[in-house]
Amino acid sequence: MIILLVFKTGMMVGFQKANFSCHWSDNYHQNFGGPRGGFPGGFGDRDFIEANGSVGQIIKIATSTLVIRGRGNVEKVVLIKADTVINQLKETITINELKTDDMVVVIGEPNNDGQIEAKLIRVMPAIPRHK
Amino acid sequence: MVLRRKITGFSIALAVSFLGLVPAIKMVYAGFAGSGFVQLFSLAFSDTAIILASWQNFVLSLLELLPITGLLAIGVALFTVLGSLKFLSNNLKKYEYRQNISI
Repeated sequence: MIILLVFKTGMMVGFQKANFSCHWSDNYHQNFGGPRGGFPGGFGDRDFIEANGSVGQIIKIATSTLVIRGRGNVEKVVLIKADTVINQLKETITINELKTDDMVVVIGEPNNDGQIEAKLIRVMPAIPRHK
Repeated sequence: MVLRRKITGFSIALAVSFLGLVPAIKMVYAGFAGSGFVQLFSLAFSDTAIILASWQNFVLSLLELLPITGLLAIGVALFTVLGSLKFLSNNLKKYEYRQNISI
């Protein structure tokens, strides 16, 4: 029973990642300006992209979107909606207060354009680099 | 004779799987550190109310970041260690007893 549950969960998570990666690849040109029609051969044997969240660095800020560079240098577009909460330390901030190079953790819902509709964005404190 | 071979086999399996635990643990540690799992998990404490409201996305994103390969390797190594220990603890005394009788 437990094995079946784990298997089912794995299938569900894998499907979500594969589905999002497919949309991400198909809409790459529209989102980032890459090859029109997505990448030939799709994702191949590369790891699929996480669909429900992202941890990474902000590389671009637009009016209602962020571009985040996450694990494996994968860029993701994060949509900021009216109900998106952006928190830094104990304060709630606006998109205007975000800066490029900020480390953020995003939780959200994947959409069919290969973007994440953010529900929560948490700005993480910068990690001091040791010399 | 068969018991002796089995004991040798399980002893080797115990040693190999015990040694295999070290790279498996390192792999899991690297997986957790490199994936951002810890930062994501910390949201459960810093933004509890929002996380409770969208718990499905939170749980799914945690599951997506789990270092499955490393965890699987630890599971296999632990299973082998415990299985070998169980076999050895059950049969070593039996083997010694047989050796004493044959003497």
